[in-house]
Amino acid sequence: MKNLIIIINLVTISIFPQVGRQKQLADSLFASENFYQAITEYKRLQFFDLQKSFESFTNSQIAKAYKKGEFYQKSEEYFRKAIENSVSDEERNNLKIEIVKIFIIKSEKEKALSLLDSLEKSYFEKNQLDYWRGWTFLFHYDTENSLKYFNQSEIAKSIVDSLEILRKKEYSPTIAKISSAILPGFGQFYTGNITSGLISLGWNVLLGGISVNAFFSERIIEGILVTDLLWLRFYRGNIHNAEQFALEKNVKLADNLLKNLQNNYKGALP
Amino acid sequence: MKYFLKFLFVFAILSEFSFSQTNLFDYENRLKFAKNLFQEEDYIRSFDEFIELSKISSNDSLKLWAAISLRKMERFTESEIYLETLFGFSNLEDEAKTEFFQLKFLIEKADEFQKNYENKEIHPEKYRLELLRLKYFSHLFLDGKLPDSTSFINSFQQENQPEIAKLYNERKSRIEKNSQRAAIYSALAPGLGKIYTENYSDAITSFIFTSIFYGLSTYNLSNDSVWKGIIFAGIGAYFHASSIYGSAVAAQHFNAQQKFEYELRLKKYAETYNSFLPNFEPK
Repeated sequence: MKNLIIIINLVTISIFPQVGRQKQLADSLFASENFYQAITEYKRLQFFDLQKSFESFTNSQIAKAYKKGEFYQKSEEYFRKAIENSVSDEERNNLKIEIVKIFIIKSEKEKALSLLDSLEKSYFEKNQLDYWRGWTFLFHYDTENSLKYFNQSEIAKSIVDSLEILRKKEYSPTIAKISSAILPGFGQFYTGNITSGLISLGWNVLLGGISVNAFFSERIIEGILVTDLLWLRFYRGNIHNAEQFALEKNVKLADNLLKNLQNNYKGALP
Repeated sequence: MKYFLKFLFVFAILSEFSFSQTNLFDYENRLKFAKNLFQEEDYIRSFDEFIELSKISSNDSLKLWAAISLRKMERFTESEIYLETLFGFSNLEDEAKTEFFQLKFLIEKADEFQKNYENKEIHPEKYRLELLRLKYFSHLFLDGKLPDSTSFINSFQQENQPEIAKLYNERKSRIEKNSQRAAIYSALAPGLGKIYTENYSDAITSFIFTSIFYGLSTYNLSNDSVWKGIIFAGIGAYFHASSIYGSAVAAQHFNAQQKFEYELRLKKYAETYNSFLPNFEPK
């Protein structure tokens, strides 16, 4: 089938020299990274290619050019058009992987995972699917699942190593929460936010003191109101705050790893 | 294979004959392509193509279409510049002027549109009635007095009149909340201003919180706990002040929300009828 397409394309180019020249022009613009003009010329090629021999190819190239320009919505739209005109399962699956990559970049985890699941039956390289699942979770800062799928894929050892190091450095949101629940401010200390921890501790000691004093002096209503309206609000806020700090720190760590991989990793990237 | 090659040879000769004259970059082909880009809503590229074509031909339609492409991309100022080049010297002057008014209307400055409308010199002769409709419609976006209902509604085509009458009456009967009044209400009784602005749950919260802290303050002051009385009075005053300020803001928010929803419907309606103006888009 692939050979037949190549023959049809060669025949089209030989009998429609204008179309052939137009393809060369568009390809050269794409190769020189002039993506805006490349899109225009691929669209012109598509418009005058009455035989529709290059329909899938031009749509795919337009999609790639839009992706380079960070127009992800448009890129997805053209990859989908390319799928409609694709002639082999292999081509269709590869184009679907391109759409998965766009979902990954856009942090659309559910869409990426669902498309990868739908490829399970037809995609021949199963470990590739796990590889892209790993990227999907990594872009969502879910290092645990990311590590699991990269491990399963067995094709990204350096990423696995980096993720294992990262997992050791990560803060536990549960520890942060429990620490702050036992002693207000300690969860913040655990995540390295000393000032915030001291402020939390101060407020809780002050308001707790007022509440306890009110109860001991048998001013029950005042005690209940201060406890419920003021002290408990600060106490709950302190626990939530500690958890947020841990999560934020973990996101920062994962983000640094992600940036590092995007700049230095030699394998396929979204 | 032999027959296939023969067929290929004959086809190539015929194709060479029919395509030897085809140049994808000649005027006709480029125009077709530009129009196709416009239909596909790729306005940035259709604009480029219309501009390149206008370098080859002095056809004023190209400038008009370039301006429309810019308008579609919401690049209104640039669009206006292209339209103004067609004023006074072009056979598409009326079309350009009509487009110009549509731009003024779309920039969401109904007052600016009306100011421009006062300048009769730039009225498009051919589309005077359509422009008058748009002028009437622009009144619905403004806060001032509305024109007389009969002339307002009758200026529109019969099919539009029921909906226009509905929009007109809604605009006329719109009641706005006064932010000063809301603040005064909340100063008199915490939360009362929020009832006036129809934020009932906020009103209850404001009333409860302010009353509790004022109550605690009174209780402590009457039991000789002066410093605690002052702290609770401060907290109560904070909630009271928040209620006053919040009520004033809520009144403004109420008005803005009401206006926003109404204008959204107006815009949607205007879009359905292409702002009541003729369509000069490339076909």
